[in-house]
Amino acid sequence: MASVTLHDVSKSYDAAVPAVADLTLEVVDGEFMVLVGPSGCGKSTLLRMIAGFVAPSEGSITIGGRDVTDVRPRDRDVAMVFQSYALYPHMTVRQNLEFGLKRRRQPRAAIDEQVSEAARVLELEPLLDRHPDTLSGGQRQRVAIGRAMVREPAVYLMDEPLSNLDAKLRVSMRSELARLHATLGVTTIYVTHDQTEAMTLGDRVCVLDGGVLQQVGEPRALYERPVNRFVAGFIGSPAMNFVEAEVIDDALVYGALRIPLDGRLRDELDGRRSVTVGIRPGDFDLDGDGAVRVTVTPELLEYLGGEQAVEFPLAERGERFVALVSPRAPIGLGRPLELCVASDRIHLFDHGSGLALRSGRDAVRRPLETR
Amino acid sequence: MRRPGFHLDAWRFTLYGAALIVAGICLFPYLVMVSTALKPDAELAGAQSWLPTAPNWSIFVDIWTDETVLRGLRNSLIIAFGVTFLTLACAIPAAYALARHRFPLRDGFMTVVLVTQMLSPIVVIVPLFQTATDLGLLGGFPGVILASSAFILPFSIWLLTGFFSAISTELEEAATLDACGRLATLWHVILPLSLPGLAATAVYSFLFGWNEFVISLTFLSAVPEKWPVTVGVFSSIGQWDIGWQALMMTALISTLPVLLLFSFVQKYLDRGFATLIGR
Repeated sequence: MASVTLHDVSKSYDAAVPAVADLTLEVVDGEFMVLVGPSGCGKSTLLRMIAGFVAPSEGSITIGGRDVTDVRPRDRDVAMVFQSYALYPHMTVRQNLEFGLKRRRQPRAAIDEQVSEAARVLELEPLLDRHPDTLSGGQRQRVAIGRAMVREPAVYLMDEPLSNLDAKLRVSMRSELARLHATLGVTTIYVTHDQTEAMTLGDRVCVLDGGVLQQVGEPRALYERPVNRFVAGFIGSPAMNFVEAEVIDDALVYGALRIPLDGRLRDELDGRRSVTVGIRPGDFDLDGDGAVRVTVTPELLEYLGGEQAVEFPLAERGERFVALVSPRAPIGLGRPLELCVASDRIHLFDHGSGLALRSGRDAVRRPLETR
Repeated sequence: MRRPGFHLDAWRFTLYGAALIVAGICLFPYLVMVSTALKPDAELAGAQSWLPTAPNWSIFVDIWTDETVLRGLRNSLIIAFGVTFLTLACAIPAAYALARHRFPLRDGFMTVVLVTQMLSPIVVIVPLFQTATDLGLLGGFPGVILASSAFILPFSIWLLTGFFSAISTELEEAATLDACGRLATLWHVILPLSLPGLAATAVYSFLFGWNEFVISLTFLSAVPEKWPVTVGVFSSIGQWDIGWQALMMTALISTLPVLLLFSFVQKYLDRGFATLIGR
């Protein structure tokens, strides 16, 4: 087991667009760290740099306190689960599991013990003599994890390991991964573009965009206190609603939306006359005593089972807002509806930079580290 | 309503009919070879007939006691296996490098390789002869093997590059983490997964070596004991007399190894060509 530290790591394939820019990140020993972001955000490049397949253009990488920047992948004591699983098609499951150990000249008895242990934990015993192409996606996935497990590496690297599974299997494999990590307690770095996966699996989540680290923190911190508009919009589903509001008569106003300024909002505004307001769909209430009340006309209703999504415009020709409300609420298309939001659920972002506005007391926190 | 079964039967009938016609065309030369080999001299000179009236079955035994035929077969095998081995030994590393590395002039190299494929041995036989003389490679198998391999290398490199490129790089990365270096990755992962391509390349080079004629004729003309079957058959056509029976029998025998080879590797060849066409 080991911690992993990236120090000022950069990678550019061509000079104009860096794939990863000047990134510093510490993954604590035993932690499940998820790297998440849209495609092309540099998360895979980052993982491949940790594995050693890609050399960073600048910066250094340490694993367990040892600088491995110039160490070959095989000597880094990491094991990887690939997106395509990358099982050797011409070998049986057992041979796939054994291969790395054999190459490392482990004694036969130790290999057998490791393989049977992994097979037991992952319930692979009945599959040991089959070839990968006769297995289902979920079974292949488990073999791929088994191949990483038998090596007993210091760090697991996982590159979108669930993305090739169907939705139902993905959810069950997700909880299996969480269970495995809880049992093994090995440092794991996990790449995904799926924010739900990130939130449910990660001890901490690192959000990347355009090769730049946006925010690292526990899932709750990312959701509750996103540092900028990108993180706020990326984490959470359906995504946070944004509008550009202006300060008029001691309130933030956009169309029908009128947010009275209280102490915190005034602090955060810090004299600005216009600002980006963000409200999560789940923060709307039908009958609450929230300070912000708005009457809207639903234009689209989506019944989701446990809740329903209501889409409505706040201003003429304005973008639609989404609110999640109880599925039993008596709502009709075109029938005016009063929604309210607690004042402390309002997020404010700087108009130009997109950075979240913080009141004086919070501003002393390091902007990127919200634990 | 038409019954679907009828279509299937009609389709099969057409398919088998076509297959029979193709098979007939392929087998016809064999019929001529066998029939001619069995005819006594008198019958050969006389009126044309499809089947010999008095077949001389002893030719089947006699041919195996003919020293020159046996020696020719042995020489052909040496050349064919030599060409196969040398071609694979050169094409595998070349194709692997081309499939996995981006280096300056890579595309240019690929084009040059392709262009050399357009040359037939007969076009360059004079300079080849000169080169072989200068290098002291005349009159021996190494010279023939080297020159023949050079002609099939381009095709082999292209074929294998296609196969190697089709293998996921994640597999190679997995092998890297499983403590494989370049060579071990090639040996344990790339080659086993390219068996159809390797089989196709091996068969192609073996056939080229087995059928090779011009280079052997030129390089080995002074040493009849090293002539392969192809040159042997050619030389048995004398100025005044052609031993038709022995000629046909030798030709027949010389196709046997090829038939055997195909029956062994057909499974891989099918997959090999299917992969190529599918690309």
